[in-house]
Amino acid sequence: MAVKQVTVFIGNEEGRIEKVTEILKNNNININSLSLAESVDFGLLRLIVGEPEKAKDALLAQDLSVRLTDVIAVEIPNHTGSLHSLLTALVDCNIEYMYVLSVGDTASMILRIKDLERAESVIEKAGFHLLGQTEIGA
Amino acid sequence: MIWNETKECMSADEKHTLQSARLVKTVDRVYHNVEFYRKRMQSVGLEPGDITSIDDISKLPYTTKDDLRDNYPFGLFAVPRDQIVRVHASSGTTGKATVVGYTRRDIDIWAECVARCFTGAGITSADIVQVAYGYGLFTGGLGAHYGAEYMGATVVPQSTGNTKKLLTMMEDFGVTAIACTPSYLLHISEVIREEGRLERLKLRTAVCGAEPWTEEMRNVMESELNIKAFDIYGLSEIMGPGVGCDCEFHKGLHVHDDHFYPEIIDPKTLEKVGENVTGELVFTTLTKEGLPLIRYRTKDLTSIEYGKCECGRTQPRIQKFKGRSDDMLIIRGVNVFPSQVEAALLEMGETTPNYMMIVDRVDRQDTLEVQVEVDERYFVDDMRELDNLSKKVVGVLKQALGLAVKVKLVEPKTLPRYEGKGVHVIDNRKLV
Repeated sequence: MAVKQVTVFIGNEEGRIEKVTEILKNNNININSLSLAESVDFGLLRLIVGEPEKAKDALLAQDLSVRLTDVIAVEIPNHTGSLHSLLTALVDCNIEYMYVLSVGDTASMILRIKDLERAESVIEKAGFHLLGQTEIGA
Repeated sequence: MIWNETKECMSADEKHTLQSARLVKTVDRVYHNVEFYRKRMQSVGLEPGDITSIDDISKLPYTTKDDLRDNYPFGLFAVPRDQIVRVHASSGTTGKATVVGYTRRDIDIWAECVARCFTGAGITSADIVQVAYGYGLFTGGLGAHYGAEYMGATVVPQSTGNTKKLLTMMEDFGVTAIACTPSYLLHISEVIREEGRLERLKLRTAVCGAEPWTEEMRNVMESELNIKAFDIYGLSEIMGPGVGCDCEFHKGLHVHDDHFYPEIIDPKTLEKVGENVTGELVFTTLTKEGLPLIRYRTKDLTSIEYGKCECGRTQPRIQKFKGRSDDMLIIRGVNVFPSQVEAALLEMGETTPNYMMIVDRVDRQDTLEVQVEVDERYFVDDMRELDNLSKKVVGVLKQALGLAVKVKLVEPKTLPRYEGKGVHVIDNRKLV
């Protein structure tokens, strides 16, 4: 059920993120969500796209460092306390990072958890809807 | 003031006689005691008897740092090992150190040369001299130490690394002279001003060396600290600090040419060039026992002025250094070759071997940033792992260079590629 996240190493220079978005645009790849983690000299740009393999190949062809990482996409209702319920369910799972994905009118969370299978079963037991790659759309 | 007027103010004739006798003896000794020199002389059909005066020196082949490395560690020593009382070492181009050795007499001559330099800077046995060079394999600390002690001054063997403590002692002991690198003295000066300590100090002289510096830096030091600052020159292969020093007239570095014979050559044709023409500085040691060197190519580019100085010394004077004929950098007094960085990265193998070194001077201290490309094969989607990689590179480079380094990870294939020898250094310091 896991979704493939595209992670790109970004040097701390002007125009580097734009370079990534340009490559994706030229390859007709839509970005559904992204997060940027920063260190002093570099950043990691994490992207959720419709066609992660295609995005990876396009970025690699332009000499960027790219990795595909399995992450969880889970839909949560758009009302107060829903994220708290999800995190309560995942209290025993170590979340490395997370960010928000928007598909249509609902909000979804992107979560990176090492023990993916266990987290997924916990999430489903708690009544949340997991999204697959196809539901994210191109 | 002059420490050894007989030697420092010799007439041209006396000097010619002394240098000739000493060269003949040195050549004879290396021919018989060092296989490398014997073979090298034989290869050009030379025998010791062919060298009868200092004028014959241009017949002799050159020696380079590579020769020292190829004969690592003790291969060029001209005395049995048990007569060597000390070794020093400096970094080589491929990580292998260049080792130098001294007999007891070499150490004494070295101490006298440093004493001559310090005396020229106005230091006497009444001074308290704080030696703030690194002590250890680097020649700076012990070289300055022995020289100051030899002339009877009171030595504070401070070494480097703790500026607060240095200043406390400078103040409490009433230190009157300091020996350190020029960039370190500028840093010390800044701390003194920040803390408003100048009034409480008795410092009046600084003898700075181990890295090139400018007239502007001298002006800054002298006006900020209200001292006189002097330039001392040396290289471990020839001896260490004290090969030459400037006097109160600042007309170049007086070379103690009764011990070290300087020449300037064209680094391409290897022909000797005339007075005041810039070329590569070459030294022949005239009295060294442990590690005599014949026509050693320093790779330093400069010119020499002859003739008597206003101070009375008749020694040749090395003029301002104009760079290097190789790619060696001097960063905080440490010799650094770009190839050392490459070798260390290749050995570690977790990045590409492409790199760029950015040298700068921030807050008056030299800084070195090394930009390293993340290797596509080792790239991970984990900030901590990447930070760890960065820290690991810092550790590996610090180990290889003996110098603290800032590391910046950059994207693959963003650093320039070269076929053959490339440009791996951007030096933003203004030194010449």
